[in-house]
Amino acid sequence: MHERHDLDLVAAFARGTLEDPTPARELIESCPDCAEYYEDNLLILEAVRNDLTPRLTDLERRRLRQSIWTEIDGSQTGPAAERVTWRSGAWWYRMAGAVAVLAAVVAVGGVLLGGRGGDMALESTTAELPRSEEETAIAAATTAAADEFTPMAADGGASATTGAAADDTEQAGAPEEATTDRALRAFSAPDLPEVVAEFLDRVTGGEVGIERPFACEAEVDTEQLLAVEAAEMDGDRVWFFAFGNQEEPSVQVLRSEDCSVVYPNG
Amino acid sequence: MKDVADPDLLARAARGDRAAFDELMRRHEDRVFAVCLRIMRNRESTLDAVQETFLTVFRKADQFRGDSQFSTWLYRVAVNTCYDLLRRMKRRPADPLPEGYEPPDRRVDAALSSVELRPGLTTALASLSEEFRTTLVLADVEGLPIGEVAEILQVAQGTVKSRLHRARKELARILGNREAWG
Repeated sequence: MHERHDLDLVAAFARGTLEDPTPARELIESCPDCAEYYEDNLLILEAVRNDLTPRLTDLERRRLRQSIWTEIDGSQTGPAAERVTWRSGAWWYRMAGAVAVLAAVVAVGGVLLGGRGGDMALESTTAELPRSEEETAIAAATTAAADEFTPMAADGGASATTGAAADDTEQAGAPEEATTDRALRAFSAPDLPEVVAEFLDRVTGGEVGIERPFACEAEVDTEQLLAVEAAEMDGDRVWFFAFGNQEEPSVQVLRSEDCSVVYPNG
Repeated sequence: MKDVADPDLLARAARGDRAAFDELMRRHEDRVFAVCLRIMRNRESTLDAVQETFLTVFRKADQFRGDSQFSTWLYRVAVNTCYDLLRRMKRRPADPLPEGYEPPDRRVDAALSSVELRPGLTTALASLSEEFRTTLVLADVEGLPIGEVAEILQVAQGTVKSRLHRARKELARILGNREAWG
């Protein structure tokens, strides 16, 4: 970071938001680092302008709202037997991954054969596949995903699918979750002192470290920070922080929502 | 319903007004989705994050005190939800490879790279750390003021500025490579 000059001024100049641009212009003319930062900002602004804002497809929007209301209704009428996610029972979304792979293979095939460009091959493939409104939506979502998130396509489907499974089992309280997401522990407020004691044991034993990102960073002394861990207290996300000496650390627990202190004196 | 302000809709939702909550979702779901997708980088996980965000908003509706704008509070919930999901995904052990798995053909990889891997904004953003990416998405892509970004991320404004400057330098370097490749 260039510390001698006002880079905020340079960034604002690039965005055209200054009432009087003269000081910024003079700064850019006299400072090579500032001029470079100005060029960086222009490059980013151009990329943002040229980038399409991602949007939900109509099908995703409907499924999402349906899942949210199902979940709310379930929690209001009693404990939900099974966690509902936006894609519960949505075989079509799992199929979308296969369609993406198929489209990519056809695109690569086109390139390797040297006859047609990958984009043309991709378009022709997705154009032939849909047979219904739902399938059309799948193709649109899949094409968007393939276009915009190619680097993630190879592992994204698999990891996200397992992620959803973990989410589902966590809410349903399945024992498998304890091994796949050991640190995210759920407990009730009266058990907090006991959970804090367990957290302390694991901190002093070197089993917990600092894994970013975490919430409430502005509220804690990060220079003294030894360990961070997330948990759920009565359904609310809370963060356990350990500070100071590893032999005898102090602990603070903050509520994620508003960073209020729940321990000590919570 | 369209003329009702967000905090009023939220208050109605807290009293069980479904139409009010539907209207809130209609107003904000695309922006929440866009922000979460930039952070999560995966459409499927993003939809999980959006669902979880709105469920949290519904459950905590009675706790919104109006100290900040509704959109700031909503973004904070969304960002924290994305962070939570990312942390869970990081912890999850990778699935074992199936028996008889053959490594991918390098020639196919090379062809894919030449066709599809030129970095646009989304790909370039994916190269940044989560903290840099989130800060830059909120400030430069969503166009939020520094103070609001600080409030959403629950860090000092100086921290936001510092992250933003470094993120911009890094992103510009990556985006610059695109021109060299093209």
